[in-house]
Amino acid sequence: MLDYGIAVGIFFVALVFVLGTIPGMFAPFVGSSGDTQVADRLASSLSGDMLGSRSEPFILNATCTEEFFRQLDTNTTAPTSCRFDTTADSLRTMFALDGTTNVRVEITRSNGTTRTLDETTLVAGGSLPTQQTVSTARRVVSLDGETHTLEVYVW
Amino acid sequence: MTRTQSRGQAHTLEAVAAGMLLLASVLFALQVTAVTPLTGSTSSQHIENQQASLAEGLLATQVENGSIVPTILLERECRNVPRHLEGWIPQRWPADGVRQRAQ
Repeated sequence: MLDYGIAVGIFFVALVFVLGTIPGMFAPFVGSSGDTQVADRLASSLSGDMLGSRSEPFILNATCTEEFFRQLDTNTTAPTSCRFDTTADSLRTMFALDGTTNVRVEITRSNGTTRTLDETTLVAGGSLPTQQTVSTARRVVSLDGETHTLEVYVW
Repeated sequence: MTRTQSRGQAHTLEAVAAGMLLLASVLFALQVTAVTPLTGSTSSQHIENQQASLAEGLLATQVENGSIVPTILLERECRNVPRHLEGWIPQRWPADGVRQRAQ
């Protein structure tokens, strides 16, 4: 009887171990891909189209870049020659995101400080949450002939 | 009594065998799978896209700067080399012969 008890115990320990391990193995593949894809698409479209031109991806137009952030900050209207929605007043309407998605866009110099262009700080969107998973996408872009990093945070 | 005990021991053996079979099948499944979370991090599509776009952006930026040749040839003097790369990145590279051929 004691042997039988030990036998069942050993078997259940193995079974519980397997059942406990397998979901953890698949966890990185399940879910959480939504925000990373949003971040990736936003970064691609910002760096390759909206702030520059389609023919020269990653080369940002300084005027349009400055107007983009100023428009989101102070609701001014950017010139229509720029390739983004010049009537949108928030990142959410700019990218037609649903109400639960938050975005922050920032252009930083290579030393990590946020770039300022004509007294407009090149940052849009709220501050990052401290207790939530944030998906990030980065692109290296040229602005004024200098290397900058375009960072898109989605949460 | 003896009979029950030997049956109990048979059950013990069976349970150990079943447990080992269970663990072995999990191990086998992990070995035959090409991509698991423990494989190298470039197995993530997001990271692959990210690295590709970063490299593309860097090259486009250098083309715009007009410094694409030094960038590709690593010709610039390497200052502020991270400590873990010391000795791996030469102070000035490539050697003269290579630079002349590039020009």
